[in-house]
Amino acid sequence: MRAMPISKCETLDGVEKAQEIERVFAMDEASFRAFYAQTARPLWAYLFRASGDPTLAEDLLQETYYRFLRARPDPMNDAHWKNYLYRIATNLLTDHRCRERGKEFTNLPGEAGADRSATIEPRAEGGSERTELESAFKQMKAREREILWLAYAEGYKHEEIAELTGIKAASLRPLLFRARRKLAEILRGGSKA
Amino acid sequence: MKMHCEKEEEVIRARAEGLLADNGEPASEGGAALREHVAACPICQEALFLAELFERDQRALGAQAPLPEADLVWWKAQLRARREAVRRAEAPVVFAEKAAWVTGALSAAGLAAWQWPAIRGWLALIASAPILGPHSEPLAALFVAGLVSTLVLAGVSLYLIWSEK
Repeated sequence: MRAMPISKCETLDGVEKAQEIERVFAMDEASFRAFYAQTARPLWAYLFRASGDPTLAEDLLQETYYRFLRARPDPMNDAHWKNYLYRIATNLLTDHRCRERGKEFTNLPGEAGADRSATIEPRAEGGSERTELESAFKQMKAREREILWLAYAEGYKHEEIAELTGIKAASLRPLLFRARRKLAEILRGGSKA
Repeated sequence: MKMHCEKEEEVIRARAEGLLADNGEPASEGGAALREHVAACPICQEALFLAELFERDQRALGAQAPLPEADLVWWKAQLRARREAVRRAEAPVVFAEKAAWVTGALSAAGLAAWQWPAIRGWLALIASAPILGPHSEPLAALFVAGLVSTLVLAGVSLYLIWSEK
């Protein structure tokens, strides 16, 4: 079946009109712009640090906002909206990891997908520190990167991280402790070298 | 070894609120107490070290982030929502079309099975035509199959041209 051209959409009387479609979003355009300006940069940083891939981070960022808009959460304050956004982003990261793991099993040796793990060129200011952090993050597990970033960059409480990531609250503390210790050791080792 | 400090989250939050900044300003009572705690707690020191490092990294990454414009994200989301709405609206039609194809194919197969003796008779009749020569039943079957396929394809083509208009 061929897809109907988009321009016909507005003529679909009784089905969905443009205004009705806009109404299915969680917020209007002006509110979205303000919310995006406030959240997009830290969200991209989270997605980039958790995935290690700037292109993937951008894709996931757009998908996150789309799902956020479509999800139409109940009226919330900014903090709740931000939590909701990060929960969607974290779920998308998890889904992506599962798909990639699936590919690892189905691909023949040497047939793995193209390596997308590019880096953002660090600027001179703080450049070496960022390079060290980047290489340290590569040695961490994806889940560890996520919880570390949520705890120490985003400042989420442990209960909130447990809720965002789906990890049991009781398991989070030792997991976070081990991840923090591991990262600190890698960074100390890196700075000694 | 102690794995967790009860004050860790409080320390991280206080840092984010600027209560731990050592900027010469007189600290609040809570801030001063927390600073004393941090000075003696290796877990909180490590947490603070990471929080400060991540904050610098987050700021630097944010400045360089190749972000799409908010307008573009909004426009794409709208476009996708419309496509999905159209797809949802078309779903029953698509289902009905598929059901019609399946029903048609099953009916044709059922009719062929039911009328098989008559079909064999026609085939024998066609095979006995002098133009095909002796023992030409397979050839006749092929001829009928080709004719049916041509008729079906012509019907599909006409349908596609009609729906395009």
